[in-house]
Amino acid sequence: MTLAAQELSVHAGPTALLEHVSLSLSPGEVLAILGANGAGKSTLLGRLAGERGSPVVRTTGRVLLDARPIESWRPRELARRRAVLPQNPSLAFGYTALELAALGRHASGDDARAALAIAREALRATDAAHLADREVPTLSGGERARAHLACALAQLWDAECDHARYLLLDEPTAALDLAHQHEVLGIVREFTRTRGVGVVAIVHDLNLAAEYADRVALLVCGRLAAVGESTRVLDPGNVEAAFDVRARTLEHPLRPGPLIAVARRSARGVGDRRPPHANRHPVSAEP
Amino acid sequence: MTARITRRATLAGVSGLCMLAGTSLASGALARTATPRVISVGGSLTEIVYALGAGEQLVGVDTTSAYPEAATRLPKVGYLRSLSAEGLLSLRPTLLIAAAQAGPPVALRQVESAGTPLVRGDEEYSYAAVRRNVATIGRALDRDAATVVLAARLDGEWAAATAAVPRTGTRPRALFVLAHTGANVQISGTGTAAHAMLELAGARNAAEGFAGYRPLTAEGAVAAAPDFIVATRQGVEASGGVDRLLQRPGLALTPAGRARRVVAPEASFLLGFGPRLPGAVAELAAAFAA
Amino acid sequence: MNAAVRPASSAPRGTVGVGARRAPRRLALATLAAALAGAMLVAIGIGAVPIAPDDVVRILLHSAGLDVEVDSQQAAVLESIRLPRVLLAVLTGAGLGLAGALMQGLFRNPLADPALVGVSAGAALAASVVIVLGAGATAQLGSFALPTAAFAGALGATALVYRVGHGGGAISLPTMLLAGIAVNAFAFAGIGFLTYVADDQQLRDLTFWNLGSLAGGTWPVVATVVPFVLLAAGAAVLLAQPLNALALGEARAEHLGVHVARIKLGAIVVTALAAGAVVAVTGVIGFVGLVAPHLVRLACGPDQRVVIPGAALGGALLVVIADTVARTAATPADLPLGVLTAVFGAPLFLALLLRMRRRLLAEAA
Repeated sequence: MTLAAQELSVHAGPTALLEHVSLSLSPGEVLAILGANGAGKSTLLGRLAGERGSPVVRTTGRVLLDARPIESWRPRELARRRAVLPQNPSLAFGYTALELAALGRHASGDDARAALAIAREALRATDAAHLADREVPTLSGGERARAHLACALAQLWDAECDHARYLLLDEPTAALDLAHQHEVLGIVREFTRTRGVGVVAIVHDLNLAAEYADRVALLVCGRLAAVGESTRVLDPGNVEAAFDVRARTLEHPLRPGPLIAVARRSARGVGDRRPPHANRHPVSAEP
Repeated sequence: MTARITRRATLAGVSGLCMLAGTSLASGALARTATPRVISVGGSLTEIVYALGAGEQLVGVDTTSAYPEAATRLPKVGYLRSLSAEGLLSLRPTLLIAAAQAGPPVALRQVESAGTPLVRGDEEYSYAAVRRNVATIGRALDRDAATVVLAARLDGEWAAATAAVPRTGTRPRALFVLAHTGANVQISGTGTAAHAMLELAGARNAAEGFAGYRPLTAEGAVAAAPDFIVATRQGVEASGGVDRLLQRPGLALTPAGRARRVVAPEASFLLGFGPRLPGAVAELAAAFAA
Repeated sequence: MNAAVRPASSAPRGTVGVGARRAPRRLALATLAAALAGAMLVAIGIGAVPIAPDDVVRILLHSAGLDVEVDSQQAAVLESIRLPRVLLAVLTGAGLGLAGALMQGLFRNPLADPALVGVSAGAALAASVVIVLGAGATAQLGSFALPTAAFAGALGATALVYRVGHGGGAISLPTMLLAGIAVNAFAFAGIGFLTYVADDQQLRDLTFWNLGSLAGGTWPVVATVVPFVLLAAGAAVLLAQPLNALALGEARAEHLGVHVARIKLGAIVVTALAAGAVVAVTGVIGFVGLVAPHLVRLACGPDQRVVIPGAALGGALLVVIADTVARTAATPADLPLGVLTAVFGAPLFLALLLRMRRRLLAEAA
């Protein structure tokens, strides 16, 4: 039981958005997708979610959910197995946070009362219970993000479940303050542990990814540069190549594991012993 | 004298019987046997009702009934194309006289099925149709004597009017100009009331080759080359007078425009096709002959 | 979770008072239903022909088969004119209201109404063709020519808009919106041309058709419209929850398990059937489809499971009231209904907008 991409390529005309990406996710693990802007992270996440994408792009390769091509799942069946939190979720009309979270139960077959009960629990899980009766458009960015996350969690909430489930998050921490970034990823990781849900999350903060993900995947220009344990993938060389920055790993002063320190490539700091590897990074924009 | 008393007594006896038969009878049915209550929808039909001396029986007319002046003081049942069934029935009519174009059909059917007799007018633009309408309405109003008198009078007027229309020589060309809103001016082709009037009065309709109304164009007016421009009093007023009407592009360049030959009778008189038709034809023919 | 240790934003700023103030749903729907029932009773009770309330009751009992004495003309007025007309008002308002709710949900836009997908423009163009050029059709089909053509026009225009917006297995709502604008423009050009060639009487007919009227309300008409509105109401209830999900956008609705293409097609078909059937027999009646869903949303929130039935009830209420005024304000003549729906709807709408704006300002403060 996995959610897997096999030799996935996506082309928009002559431009390759994704090239030969093969990747698989098991229930109960957190996989963070890292990469620079335009590296193909959201495209990959969209395909893993079962989206067909715009009619002008050409997709080859396959995405399999539990060994079946994802597009062969009926929408409702698919919705019981995977939930998605998009990067900029929008919501028309003044639904309350509670109503929003309850929309996550659409495919569940719950009656209205059961759906609302789960929506409340999901809001509590994202520290948004007190927002239940507020209209979503009146919430702050962070509050709104937590309400939308609650909707995605509610979709996979069932404690007992006879099939694998996957949660796909596109920058779940983007709108959040520091404390909530940690909290939300903590919630997500707990969700994988207690409910056996597999999580794919696009994260920009390397240290957050290292702290909460079981594995990380590094995308560089549509190609999967590396995938595996964060200590192995996020070595300074990979980080410098992928993000066009200078990077070093230190020992994290507050928790076990490394701290990835990053600085602008042109800024020359004290103790910098590595010259810029212009030929190593594939997204060279610097003169 | 004696006869009249007897008749009155009979009437009283009959109505007394009706009252005895009474309480279970519909009040509408009672009203029917008492005084006639007539609604007339259509200006020319209303004129005929008045010409038959039955104006006091009218309890409602439509908005096109503007002549005689007494008609304007009656309750208005709306425009003749958008009648309300219940509105009509609320006047407790014993007879509904409706022009051919009156509607909607549903409303008329509903009034009829509620027990009110319905009489339809004839919409043809001819003297024969006027006479048929007089006969129909006279019969419906039970006014045989008045009908005979009116018909005889109209026939006399009609004979005089048509006799005055020249039968020989070239007929003058006349263009009918409808300018009720000031901004939009239309001319009338075949199949219109105005066309029929022009022909009856001995002129040739200068607007040739089309049926119904069309907007006036400057070149069209020049090409039509009318000797007379026929309008309505209301139209000339809406245009701001004869001078302003003739300032319309093209009109001034026509023979009629150069000679300021504009005839503008009142609209319902000119186009009504009611009992004033002989008078209208005579007036128009006289204007063309001048 | 660990809410106890959360410092900053966990201060419960939204616990009391700031939450969305909303009427309880069941109560709101029950109130609307009761108000509609009341308005219908009043509408049946008053009209140009005076019928005392006890006579109304007696006539209703009589027509229900009881042996009660009634005035036959009053009975005729009530049974064959007023009752079907009031029922047609209910059907009209309900059809337009729920069509409006569906369109606003589908386009995720509170300004959407059935006109957006060409329903009214198509119906109006077809009706104008019959009025101005359709002497032959009228002779063939009699009084059914106009509604039949208008209904076909409504469906045809909507199908065209849908066809243009539909491509590659997906429906592009923005494309549909633009196609709707084009179809509307074309229809109005056609109506403009027909207005140009129409004679005086046809012009008046066009004007009256565009102002709407329930004067055509007879039992056969009611019987013809009932199945469309009932079918649409049933389908709309099924569409309510998917449309809620659609408020999150098409991709997200798909993620939640909604068969988005099917829902879009469903909403469009139901709208065309309900609004088309109604417009075909009444002419253009503005504002109901726009305002009815709005009023419910302002009072009860945006949940389509309330908005759709609420808009049907509210639309029916609005049209019943407006038509009662249309029938009675200028007796013995009728006023045009389309004028009255706007006359009642617009100020009501403005008042609610002002109230809502004040609330939003208060919440922002």
